[in-house]
Amino acid sequence: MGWLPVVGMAAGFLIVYKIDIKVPSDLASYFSLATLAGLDSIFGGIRAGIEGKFHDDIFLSGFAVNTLLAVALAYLGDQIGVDLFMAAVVVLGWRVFLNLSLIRRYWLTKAALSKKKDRQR
Amino acid sequence: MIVTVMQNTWILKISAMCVVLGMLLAVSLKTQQRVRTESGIPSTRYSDLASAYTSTKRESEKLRRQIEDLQNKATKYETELASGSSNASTLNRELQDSKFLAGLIAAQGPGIVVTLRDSPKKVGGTTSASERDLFIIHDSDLRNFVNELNVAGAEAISINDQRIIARSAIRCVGSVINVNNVELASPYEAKAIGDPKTLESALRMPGGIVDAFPDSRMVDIKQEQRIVVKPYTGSTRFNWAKPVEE
Repeated sequence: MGWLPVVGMAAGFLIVYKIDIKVPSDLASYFSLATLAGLDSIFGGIRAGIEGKFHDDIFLSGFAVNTLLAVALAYLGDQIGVDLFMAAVVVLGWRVFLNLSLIRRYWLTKAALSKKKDRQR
Repeated sequence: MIVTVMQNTWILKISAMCVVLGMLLAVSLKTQQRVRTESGIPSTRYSDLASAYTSTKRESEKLRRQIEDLQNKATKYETELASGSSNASTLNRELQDSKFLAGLIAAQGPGIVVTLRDSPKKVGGTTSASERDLFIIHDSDLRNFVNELNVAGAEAISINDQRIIARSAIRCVGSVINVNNVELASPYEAKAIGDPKTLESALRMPGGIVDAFPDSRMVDIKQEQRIVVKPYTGSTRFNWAKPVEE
């Protein structure tokens, strides 16, 4: 079932890619930041799921709040003259890498354990 | 896979949000593609562009002022060189007159100063775009004014200190007007040397050019006893035309 998220992403991607969507150029970087925040939420959710600690409310609220908050902070930074956009990119990117490495570790550990179990049977 | 979907529905929920993520990805990708085709660089690099543009603009302002200085010096040297013999001074007199005719020398005299600006009126959302256009100053308006002033006998005209010469072009580039390939911003101040009364009455003719504006605040005309019209500081190269030898 691990392919389902990928299918979901592809589906969402294709739906929007075909539409002739017009986002004003000055909002372009905010959308990129929202995408990164979404990516961070997804990987955080996958990691929580693997650890058995997945909570609906935390995941859903996390996705929405992180995305909106990242964009809001970047916009605020633009207004006051501080590059908060870069701060958001650094933090979100760091979390993506962190979660990815944890997911990889869990996956490999589980894979090794199940191999051992198969051999013991 | 790690666990069966029976035990854990989190994969389903993740997949649902992945749809949203996919949509966000698509929007970002499309927007960046469009930004890249429009301006050649991703939107994260826009701040670099801005500083490059302002420094280039400052550079070109400096160079234009230099051109004016050098042209003044050239006139001075020509006159000095010619001060020796009477033949040379006659020729120099002709040279300076020709330069004056061509607009390469600053001119002074009585005339009028016409200030054209976009209407400050807030035009309502129900008006059509073509109606709203009437409340903005266009390149065509500037061209009509220059023509009208010439008809009324103006001998030297400049718009925001850009001298109008025979080869001057007034055109619209996006939201700014270019004169002599220099970007000008509203308000547009046109100076014209000539008989002040004739010039103003030509513009204010009933059914004439000033009447065509829907808002009278868009045009302001002042008669002055002494106006200085700056010289043309653009390129004077002829790449195609050559004088015909008589």
